[in-house]
Amino acid sequence: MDEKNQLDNQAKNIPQESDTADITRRSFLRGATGATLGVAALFAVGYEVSTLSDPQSPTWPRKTARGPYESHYAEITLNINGIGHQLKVPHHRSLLTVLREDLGLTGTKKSCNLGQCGACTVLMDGLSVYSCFVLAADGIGKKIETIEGLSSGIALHPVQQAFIKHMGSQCGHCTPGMIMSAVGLLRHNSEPGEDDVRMALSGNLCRCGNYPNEVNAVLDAAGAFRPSVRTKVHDEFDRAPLITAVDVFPDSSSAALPPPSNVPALDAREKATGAARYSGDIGWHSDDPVHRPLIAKVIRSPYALATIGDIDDSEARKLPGYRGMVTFRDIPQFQAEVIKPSGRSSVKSDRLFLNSVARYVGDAIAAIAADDLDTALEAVQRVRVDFRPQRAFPDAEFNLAHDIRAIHPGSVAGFGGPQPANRPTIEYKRGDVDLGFKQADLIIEGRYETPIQCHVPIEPHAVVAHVEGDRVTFWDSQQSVFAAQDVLATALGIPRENVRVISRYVGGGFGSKCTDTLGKTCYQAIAAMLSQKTGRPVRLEYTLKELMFAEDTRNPFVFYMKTGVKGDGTITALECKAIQRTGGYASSGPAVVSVAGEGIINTYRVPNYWYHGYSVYTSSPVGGEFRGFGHPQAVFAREVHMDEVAAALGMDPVDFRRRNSLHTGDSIETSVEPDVRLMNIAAEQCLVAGAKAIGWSRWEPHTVKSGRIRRGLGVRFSQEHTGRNASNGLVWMDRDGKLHVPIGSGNLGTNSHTGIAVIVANVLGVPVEQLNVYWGDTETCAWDFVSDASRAIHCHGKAMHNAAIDLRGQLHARKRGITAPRTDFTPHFYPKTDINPYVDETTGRIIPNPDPKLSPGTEALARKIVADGGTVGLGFYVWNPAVEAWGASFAEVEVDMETGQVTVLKLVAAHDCGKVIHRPGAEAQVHGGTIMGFGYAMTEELLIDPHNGIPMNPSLYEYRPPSALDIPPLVPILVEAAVEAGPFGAKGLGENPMFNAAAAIANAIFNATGVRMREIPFTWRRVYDDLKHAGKLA
Amino acid sequence: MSLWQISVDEPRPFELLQPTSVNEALELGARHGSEAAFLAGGCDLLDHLKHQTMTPHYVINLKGIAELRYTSIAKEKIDLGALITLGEIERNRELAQLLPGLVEAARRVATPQIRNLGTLGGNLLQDSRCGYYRGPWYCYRAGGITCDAHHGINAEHAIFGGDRCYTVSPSDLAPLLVALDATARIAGDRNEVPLTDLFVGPDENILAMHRLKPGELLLGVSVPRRANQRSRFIKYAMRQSWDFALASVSVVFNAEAGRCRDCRIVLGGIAPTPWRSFTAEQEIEGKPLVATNIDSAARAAIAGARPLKHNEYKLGLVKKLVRTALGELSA
Repeated sequence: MDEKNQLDNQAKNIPQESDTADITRRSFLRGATGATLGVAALFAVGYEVSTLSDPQSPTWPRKTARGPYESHYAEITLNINGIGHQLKVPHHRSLLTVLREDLGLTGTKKSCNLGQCGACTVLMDGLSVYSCFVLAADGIGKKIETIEGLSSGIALHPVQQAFIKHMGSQCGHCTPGMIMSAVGLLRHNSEPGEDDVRMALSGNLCRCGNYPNEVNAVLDAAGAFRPSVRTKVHDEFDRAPLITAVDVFPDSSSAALPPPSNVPALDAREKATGAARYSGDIGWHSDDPVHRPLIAKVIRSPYALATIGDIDDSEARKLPGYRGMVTFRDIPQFQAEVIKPSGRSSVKSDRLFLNSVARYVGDAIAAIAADDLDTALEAVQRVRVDFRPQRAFPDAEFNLAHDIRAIHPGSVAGFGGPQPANRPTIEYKRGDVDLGFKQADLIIEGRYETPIQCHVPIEPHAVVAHVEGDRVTFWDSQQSVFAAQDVLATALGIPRENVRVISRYVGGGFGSKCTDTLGKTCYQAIAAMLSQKTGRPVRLEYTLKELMFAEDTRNPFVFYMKTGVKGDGTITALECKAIQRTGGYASSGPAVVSVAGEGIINTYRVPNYWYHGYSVYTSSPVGGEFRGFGHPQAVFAREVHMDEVAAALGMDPVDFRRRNSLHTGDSIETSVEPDVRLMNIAAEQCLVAGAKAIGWSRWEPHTVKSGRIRRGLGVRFSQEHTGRNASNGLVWMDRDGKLHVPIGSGNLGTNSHTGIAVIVANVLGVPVEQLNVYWGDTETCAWDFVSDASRAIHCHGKAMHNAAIDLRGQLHARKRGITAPRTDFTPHFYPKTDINPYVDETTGRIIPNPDPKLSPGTEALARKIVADGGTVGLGFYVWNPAVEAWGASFAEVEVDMETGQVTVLKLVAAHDCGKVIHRPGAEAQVHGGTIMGFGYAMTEELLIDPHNGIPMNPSLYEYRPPSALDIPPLVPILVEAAVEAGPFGAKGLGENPMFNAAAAIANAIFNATGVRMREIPFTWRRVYDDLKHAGKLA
Repeated sequence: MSLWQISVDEPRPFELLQPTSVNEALELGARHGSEAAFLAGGCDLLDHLKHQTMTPHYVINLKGIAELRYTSIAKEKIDLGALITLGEIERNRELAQLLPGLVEAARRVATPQIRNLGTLGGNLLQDSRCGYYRGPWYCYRAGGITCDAHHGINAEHAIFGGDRCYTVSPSDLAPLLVALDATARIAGDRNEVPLTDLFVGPDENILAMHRLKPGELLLGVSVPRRANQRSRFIKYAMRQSWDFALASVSVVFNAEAGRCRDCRIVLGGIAPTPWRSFTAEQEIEGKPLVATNIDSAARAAIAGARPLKHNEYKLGLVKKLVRTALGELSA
């Protein structure tokens, strides 16, 4: 049967007779039952391929047999922080579990639980160990110290004090483990050098990339702190002329803007002491709102594509402590509006929170709940699922070329749902590319590829759901409590007002914890269904594997780029076809391929362009939101491509960027408006400052380089993110005169909440410490859209700024004797800059002239404050698409021509983030995002087996996020091009440092070797193979 | 990761047994046979237990056996007990003088926290880290009928010694101790075995990385002391922390009158067992360590290598490792 017929039959689910005999033999060999036909059909390749060992087989083909299920208990005494505790624990329980769950000492964090990250570090007889790898019984007779034992009463340990002073925490989830490692170091080495400190912290991963601050903090605690060369910040800012008319101080008529603040992060102390309670910590303390919730475990598909028959939990029901199961058959059907740039669609979301067809390995099918984790793990393995595997289709280009409809009824994910292969998800067009190419003197083409990246926040997702009557409360780790409220209400088919989402601390988000559309995993709804079924609160917590590939990831891309230039370096035309793997479901795929397009077209002056992007369904992990949202991929491809263009012209790469760069006032195309004139951007200044810091004057073409070890310089230059959509602001003063700032955006560790507090404090003319700042509760905070897209300071901050102005006006009115409580709840805003078109996520329509009305929740909150005798200020802001951040980064590398090893000697990152509000917060975003982008460039890729769609390396040993010993010297440069629309002129920053590493390093490798890297990451294998292919191996 | 392994990350309940002597441990092992697993530092076993790829009814904890934790430095030899931790080796100043390569190797294992838990014995006897083997693929080593790495992604697999299975030995201490001509002390049926004979390749046994039979226990290793001995260990991994070696080199020789005697060059991370490179040793045995010899040794070290589709870069790494280690020892 030829391949086309085979594919057609797959799509129609027809068995193929010729395979029967082979299948029987294979089944016999492995003793499998059931699910035989599909397994053979999975492997359309000729050679002998292993079959998956049957997950339902009673004898797992390793080591030992499974026997009766029973726990053995021991009475033990453990010395924790100097206190003896008598406990009765099962033999197999880890010290970590005992600390957290039996003793309520949740300062020690649970993260990977496999000894691969360090978050659970404690000291045992003075030595740092992973408590998840220590059996509780092995703690007997040892002196165990945790974060809680470091401070006596109010006095903090010097390391904790230093962490507060140096902003040692961003999200804070790695902090307790890191502090314990540092304490262990200082006990036996009171005068460590920087290398000693890095070595002591080398077993503690920090995904926020806060290593520079952490190292500085430990050196300071040791009395050895000197501002490290690695985190030097230039003192001179390039200031473009300010064009703001904002009146900042009550008694000032000048347009002076406040200098950047240096206040400690608002939650620094809670994080440094382990007192911060993340959603996984809730339930183990007597003062928690819920106690000992049931434990849920999700039943996930081991196949990349499978239909599902019976799901039988009869064996699980025999377990005492088993509480029940929900499957896809139990969840409410719901209608979902799918995002579309225009028009209205009643297309359902292509994904439910439990699915009837498994469309990627790890897809959620059903879930069980039990009294405790042991029972839950036993139960989840006893549930028999009749999976009927189909052939997997993991390759996007193949799926597009053949318009594969096996996964969804359309190979392409469009804004309106699945669509055929000949319709791109998004297109941006300007001018006439064919004409433009005819005008060109030179045409360059290239193909560029980026991999799957995993967020791997140090805190895996964890939610507790409690259904009471017709209301549900979620204690979640959530970037966007209001969006989650909306989405989960829709997913569960209940009114939004009946849902409350609380999230005070998020142990790292990066986009992975933003439940802002129905296309996300909506794992919280699984917990809610189980809570409703059992009548108890339910906790659902991810394992490392669930975190790495069952949850959403970063979309991998292939870009085909073609650029035409004149001999003098002017670009005449640009065409880009982008093929993006979106995985088994669309999730953020269509939006990401669109934003990638904006990334391709919005940096240079290009009179004729055509971008067409395809978000293609594949049998692989799903692409969701991830820091940069299409830009890291697009900027890598385009900046390597432009470097190729510059090289073909014989032009200096920086000169080429300067020649073609957009400037303030130039026109760009955005998804909300086709023709926008750029507000103030410091594009030129970023290039100049960065070039100077790396020493670009040393640049020489690769042709003069020789020897086994070669050095090179590279540049990356691009437009960057600064927000989207609308925000509400609310600031209030109570009857006693105390000021309150209820921030609606999430606390992922970016310290935007500190920055927003600084903005409000500056407007009101008070010290930040006088403000009562709180956040993370849909019931008590001002509505904000979502905490992503680098929008917290620029968008929510502007709305809060406006609210503070409004409050100031209300207070002035009181002073003048107008004391009647307000009845008009129109928010304050600046008509010239603050009301702009935006995409309504629920309908998919662009709202061209939004009504500056508060969300109902914010208004209700305001009314309640007034009714209670308080004074409230209200603000509103919609992201102004004319506001764009900008940046340039530079890399110097050394390449070993014999091995392909690349050493990055220095990275310089210059960001135009508008006015800097909170200096430590801004710098931390720069080094943090750069380090995450460094991992993306050098080591991180989730590999998918091309035969069966199974992720091959879902462990941190093989995925390789950078440790404290891996990061290069980094020079962050902040350039302030203030914009009238921003709060005190601020723009966004959070995602932008993700773009710093990949292209700059690729271009530096080319400058060193003459070999063009068009794929990331630059593993030794990849660089070696490319050197060899080019005939340049030493 | 099959159906449950994705959601599973804690051990199935087991009974923890705490022998206090070697004989007691052997007796327990004999009594429970394949229903028991031995626990040392736990850095390998707990990974299997938490994924429930191993579900023993009994776990025999060796950490309570004081007679297995010793570091004994005598005139003729150095004896190291199987249960000393990598951290204890790393911090031992006397060992750093006598066996610098060993301390260098210990220092390069994983992270400080793992070194404080992991033991010498556990590091030597640890199981393959091949991602296919540890995942749900039913490969030879897992009892199946193929090697998925061979026609899959094999960037971290063997360039020497592969035979149907292409895994690599993940230990950093094993190649260094083999280069030191260490002897393994074993309780049970045998007494002493050259350490190099303890490891087994897939050509002989595709299911295990070492030859310990059920009922045997590794007690420790014994290293002969030699005058004028020099040793060096270098490991290449993409991260400077956590990672298993993509390639490592262990060099040991006696420096006598400016020449290398009894030299051993053992490669790690590139074969299913610690790989002694006789061809490289021949280039420098009995000769002074000068650039030409060093270069010949480096090139000889990859002679006969059979790289797979994705791991040819290991040839470059091995050459550089051998050249660098010899170069540093020649100073």
